[in-house]
Amino acid sequence: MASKVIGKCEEKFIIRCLRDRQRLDHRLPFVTRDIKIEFREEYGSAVVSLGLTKVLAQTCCKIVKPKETRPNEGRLRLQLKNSHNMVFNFETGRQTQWTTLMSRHLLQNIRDSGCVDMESLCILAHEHVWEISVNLHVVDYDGNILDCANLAALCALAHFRYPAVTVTGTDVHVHSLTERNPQPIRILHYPIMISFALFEDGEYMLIDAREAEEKVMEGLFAIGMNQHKELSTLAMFGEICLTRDQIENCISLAHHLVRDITTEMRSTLEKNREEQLQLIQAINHR
Amino acid sequence: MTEIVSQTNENDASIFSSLHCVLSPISKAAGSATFTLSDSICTCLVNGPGELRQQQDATNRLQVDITFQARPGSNNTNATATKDKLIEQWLETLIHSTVLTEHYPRSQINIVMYEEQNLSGEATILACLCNTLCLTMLDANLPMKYAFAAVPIVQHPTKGLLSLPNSKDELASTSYFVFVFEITLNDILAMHASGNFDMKTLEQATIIAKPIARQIFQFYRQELEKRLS
Repeated sequence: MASKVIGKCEEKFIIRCLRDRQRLDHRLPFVTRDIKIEFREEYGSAVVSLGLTKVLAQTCCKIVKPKETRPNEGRLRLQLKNSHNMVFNFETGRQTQWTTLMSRHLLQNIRDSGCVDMESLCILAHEHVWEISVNLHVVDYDGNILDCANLAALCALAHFRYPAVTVTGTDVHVHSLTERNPQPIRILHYPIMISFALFEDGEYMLIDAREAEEKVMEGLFAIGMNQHKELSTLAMFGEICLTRDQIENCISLAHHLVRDITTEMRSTLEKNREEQLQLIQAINHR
Repeated sequence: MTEIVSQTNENDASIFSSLHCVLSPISKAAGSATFTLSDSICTCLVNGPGELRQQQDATNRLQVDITFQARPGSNNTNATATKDKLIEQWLETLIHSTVLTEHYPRSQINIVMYEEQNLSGEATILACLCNTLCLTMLDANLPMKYAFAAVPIVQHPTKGLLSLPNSKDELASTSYFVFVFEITLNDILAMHASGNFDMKTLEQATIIAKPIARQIFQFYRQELEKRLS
């Protein structure tokens, strides 16, 4: 986890507030912070803010040889980078461990859930496939990097376009942006992650912990699911154990939030697409 | 030798439409800024002056640690590309000449720069980085000798020397200059150039860049006034 240095009185205060179902920023325990999604002009660039936590996602693609075991599937790379060892109070050494752990859970959620249609990224089986790389940067940190980075990665993938390709026999011709319109990636569903911070041996739970709450928490339980209540990831960090009922409770709570977040994400993407179309029409009419 | 025609933007006021900035977008850093120059967006944050890591020698001046996160390119490794490292070192020398480093012995500042968007070429992004850096240090209240501003000038094959070019012109140009001016005497603090040119072109580019730098300084003043009012 991130640095656990926090004053004892602050820690006691947070736990006492929890018992009265209060939080430092007046939120209810099972409410996330405001989500703000901004797209940049380049395809695949998005900045997602979850309250004060901000993640920048940038996407690029290139043509590579596919894996031996999966010759007709494209490849997806995802990496979470955190350049602020000193800035956000991460202890050096431990910081990279924690960032790598988050990075791997993100990759598992997005790649292994099959949300991206890998077979559509294939150009020529056994020879050429598209490799999509998503780079996530933690720009600002106020707790709950997992949810924010996951959302940023999904928005970036949904926004990204890769160049059109024509295959004649064994020749592959990549069309430049001026020849043909680039194509969007086929995304089948959106696995959103919701993190539960656990306190007092699982008795108190919070969604979307801020930094102070994250320092006090004993464990973190992350659920990745899409709006059809299909689970993609279940991850638990820290020294805590949960009963089956508690887990099912969390899943139903998370489902409501996931539905809202998915509709918000979809509407933002639609708005951005319309804006881009208007821009292109304006340029063409000049 | 072809006659070099110098061309600036339409009128003086139009430069402000291609400049845009947000101060302190990052809550956790000591100072941060997001700056937009034409089609390039950069975000920079600075933290410090803080404790020096024990592995580094205790120097008599401030230790500067810059990280530049470029857009994802073709290299998949974590290490920064050689070109990006060159930019980091160039910016580090700029900081050492600007910030009063003798005031903070045995301390360090950490600077992280993100290249958020770059639809133009190298000149605009380099100028954008310099300007973002200056605004970030102003936002963090680091003691500086002067503020600085960078101006990109490109040499287009048909249009001649253009200042603050748009993406199309920049991608078609053959060589570029980036001049960094300082605010007190409007002298050149640093410079970067690439491509074929002769001294006459260089001098003409300097003459075109000076008034643009003065306008960028005016922009800094406006932004800081907005913030402090």
